[in-house]
Amino acid sequence: MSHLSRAHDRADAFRSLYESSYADLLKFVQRRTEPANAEDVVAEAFLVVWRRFSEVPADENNARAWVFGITRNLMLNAQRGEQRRQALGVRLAETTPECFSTSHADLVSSRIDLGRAWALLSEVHQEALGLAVFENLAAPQAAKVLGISPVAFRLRLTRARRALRLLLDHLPHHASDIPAATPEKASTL
Amino acid sequence: MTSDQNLDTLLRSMDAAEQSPPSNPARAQADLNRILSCRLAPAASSSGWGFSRELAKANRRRRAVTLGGLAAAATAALLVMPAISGEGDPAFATWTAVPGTLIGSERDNAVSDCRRSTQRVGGGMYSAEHSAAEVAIAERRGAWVTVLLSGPDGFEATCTTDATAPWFEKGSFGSVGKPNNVAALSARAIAPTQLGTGTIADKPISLASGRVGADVAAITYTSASKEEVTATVAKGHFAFWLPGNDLQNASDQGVPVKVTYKNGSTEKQILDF
Repeated sequence: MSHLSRAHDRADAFRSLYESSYADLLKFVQRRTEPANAEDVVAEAFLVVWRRFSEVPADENNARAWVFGITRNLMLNAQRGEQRRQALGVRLAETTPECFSTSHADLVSSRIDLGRAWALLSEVHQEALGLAVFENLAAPQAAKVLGISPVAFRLRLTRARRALRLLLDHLPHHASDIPAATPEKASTL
Repeated sequence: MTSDQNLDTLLRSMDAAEQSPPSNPARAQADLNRILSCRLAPAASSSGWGFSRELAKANRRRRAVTLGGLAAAATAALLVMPAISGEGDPAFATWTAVPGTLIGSERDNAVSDCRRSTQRVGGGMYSAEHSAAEVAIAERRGAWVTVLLSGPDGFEATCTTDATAPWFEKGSFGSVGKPNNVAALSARAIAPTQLGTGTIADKPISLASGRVGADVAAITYTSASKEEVTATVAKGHFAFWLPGNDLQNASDQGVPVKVTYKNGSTEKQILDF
């Protein structure tokens, strides 16, 4: 087979991966950075994937995790001049209590409380919960994203859940509609 | 609110991605084109093959389509989708002469792959039959799985795939179509709908599949290397394949097989269109 044909096959395979992963990866990035930059990050990540395409795992779930892992590393390294961060924090949607009916009051209150507790979580904990809840990754795949063992990820996720519940249980009842500021993150457990 | 399940549900309702702009298809396509235009180091060794197309050829006895010697009875499309770069089993190292039965999630995955890869063949001309088709055969030969879907009016879709190949490069080899005139088979008849030799990963592969009468219990084929290849026989259909070009001329000359009937008797028959 000619080199031209091989290159064509490689491009077809990459195109398939790109098209099947793009939407998920864009959301992955949008949860972890400013939405305005998300498409640029995704494009840069896929360029790395293209250059390293011979390394892509054969299994679909592992391939998805591999792409997330490459993207995560890109984002961790993005802040030049700063010490490399250890984890990528996850943003939550802004919750505002404007114009809600009485039947929605509890839900909005719960969201505000959760948003405040979430903001106090360490980035390590946010990251573990984000991979499990938003990306819906099983432990082996989430572990691949983070470059740790599945056992270590399960432990990290358990601690993250515990930390979030503790923060929720100890939050003062909010008297304000403004989500709590986050002057300081909780320390990583 | 503090159960994990409730917290997860609440968190998902606060997904920042849902407040973000949706993906822009034009931007995504432009980025893809730019990425693919980037110069790369030479790619890893690849052994892609083939293409998907419909070919028609007038057979002296009936209409058939052919590709590399493989023929499918009547109106059909031969299906060849690109695969397979360095992983999986392109050299057929795991192939077995005696098939195993696919069960559980492996069966589900193979069937759904086959349905997905064949549903738009021929521009969707068989979409109604395809939707109504049921699984007649789902066999494994090492890493390789073969699925035969059977539908109304003799419709068949067959796929032979390396289940261990990378998911995004998984190729499929087979045919889709239905005979012009479906005659009821006598109890001991065998009627191939796919017979011949094609190419996967630059290597020949010989396939035979089709319908069998109600009394047919088993079919075996003795290869040129004297290996006895056992067909899967189920739900009025049969299928077998082997690496190599044993069946290269089978669509023109026929090929002998040993047929075992339900009463235990055996007989040599010629697989022929």
